[in-house]
Amino acid sequence: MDKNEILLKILECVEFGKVNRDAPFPPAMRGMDGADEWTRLALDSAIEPSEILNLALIEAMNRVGQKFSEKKIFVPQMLISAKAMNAAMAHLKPFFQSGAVARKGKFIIGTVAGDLHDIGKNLVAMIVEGAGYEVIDLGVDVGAPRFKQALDEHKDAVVGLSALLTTTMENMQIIVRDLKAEFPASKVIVGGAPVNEEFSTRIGADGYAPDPQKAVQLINSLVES
Amino acid sequence: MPDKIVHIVPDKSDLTISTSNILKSLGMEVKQADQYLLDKIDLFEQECLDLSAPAVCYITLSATHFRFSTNTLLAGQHQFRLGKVITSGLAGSDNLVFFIGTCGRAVEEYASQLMNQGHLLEGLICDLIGSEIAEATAEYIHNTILKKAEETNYAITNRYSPGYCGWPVSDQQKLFALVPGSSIGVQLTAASLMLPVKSVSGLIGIGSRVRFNDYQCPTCRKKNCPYRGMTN
Repeated sequence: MDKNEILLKILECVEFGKVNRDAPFPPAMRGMDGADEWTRLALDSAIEPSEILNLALIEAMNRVGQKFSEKKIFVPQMLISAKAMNAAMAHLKPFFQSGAVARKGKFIIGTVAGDLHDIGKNLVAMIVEGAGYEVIDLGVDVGAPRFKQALDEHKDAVVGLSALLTTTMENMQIIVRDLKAEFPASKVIVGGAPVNEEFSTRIGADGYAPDPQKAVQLINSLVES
Repeated sequence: MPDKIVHIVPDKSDLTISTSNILKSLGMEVKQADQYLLDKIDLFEQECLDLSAPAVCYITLSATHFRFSTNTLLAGQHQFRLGKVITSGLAGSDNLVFFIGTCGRAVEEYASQLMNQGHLLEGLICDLIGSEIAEATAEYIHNTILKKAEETNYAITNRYSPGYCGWPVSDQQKLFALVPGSSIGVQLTAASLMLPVKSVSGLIGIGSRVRFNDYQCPTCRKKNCPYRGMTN
């Protein structure tokens, strides 16, 4: 089997959520190898880790994000794809750590102070990681000091603020204000059920992402600008 | 003085979990779900119900212990900033019930554990089931209060919670001062959110001149509310 065929197998496994041979999903791929086995075979076949990342994993998650944006798939399928991607990523982690494979950039994400909801934030983190970024997840109930500390440690990172409650989205304004005061060139994006474009503009954020795919597009544009 | 605090441990068979609500939270309708997903939800519903430890506590205040003024409620020594929608919904109440209910800690811990192990979908499903159990516990409280009210030919209002319909979430502190949530294991964070997260709190009015409004979403200003249009 040649390189392109192996990369295509990895891409398909991630796109359709085939984690490994034992995984029962998707039913049409039952009993077949998954992202886990194909990625191991790719590395054993001397395929460059950067090619696995760029040509298979990022492309697969792009397709997943696009289908999600178009409502052709839903959160469950996206999560299963993310799990397959994680299975592949586990094989690539040593290459990230050694610097053999470069990430596209860094993304700091957290649910803002006062809010304990993490599902949306986790979803965005997974898709952004799948798009080739190193994700620094600060967790939930995160105030301006922790965001500032993280940005100080990862100066070129884009920052993402998440909130589910209308009562806590106002904390985004404080965090954006504090980050911009200390790091004027910082790029901050916002998302979450009660947030919209108008709110993002009003609080001085650099963009609003209604879904994970839009978050990736927004981060890409901010990193490239 | 308020009545003494009432504690109830609901029978789990009285808690109804809505699979369609779980699917709606996943952004789907029932017809869009495949059998793989439906089976998974079914499996975890039972597992999470087994893990859950639903509990309820509430107190009842009679009319001599509270009064309404413009958009606020003075109950005991606490002034609640209910806002216009809730104040008008509770107007005419002869008694007020302040309640706290919880699904317990185990379901959300299980959901986190699954997520941390990389079982993302399973963790999310359990998290959503935890929310459903908490909501079913609130429904249980509502039905319990309704049955008691009907014994004296009274009706009840909708249930209203801090953080909704313009009632600031910070008023949780006052609600918890009236009802000791710690007696059922519920604590407040500094930001007035409840721990366990899968908990509910609120206020229900009882009286001969009050009524339950079937569908409140049109009156709410939170157009982006993730729960908009969900049935109780």
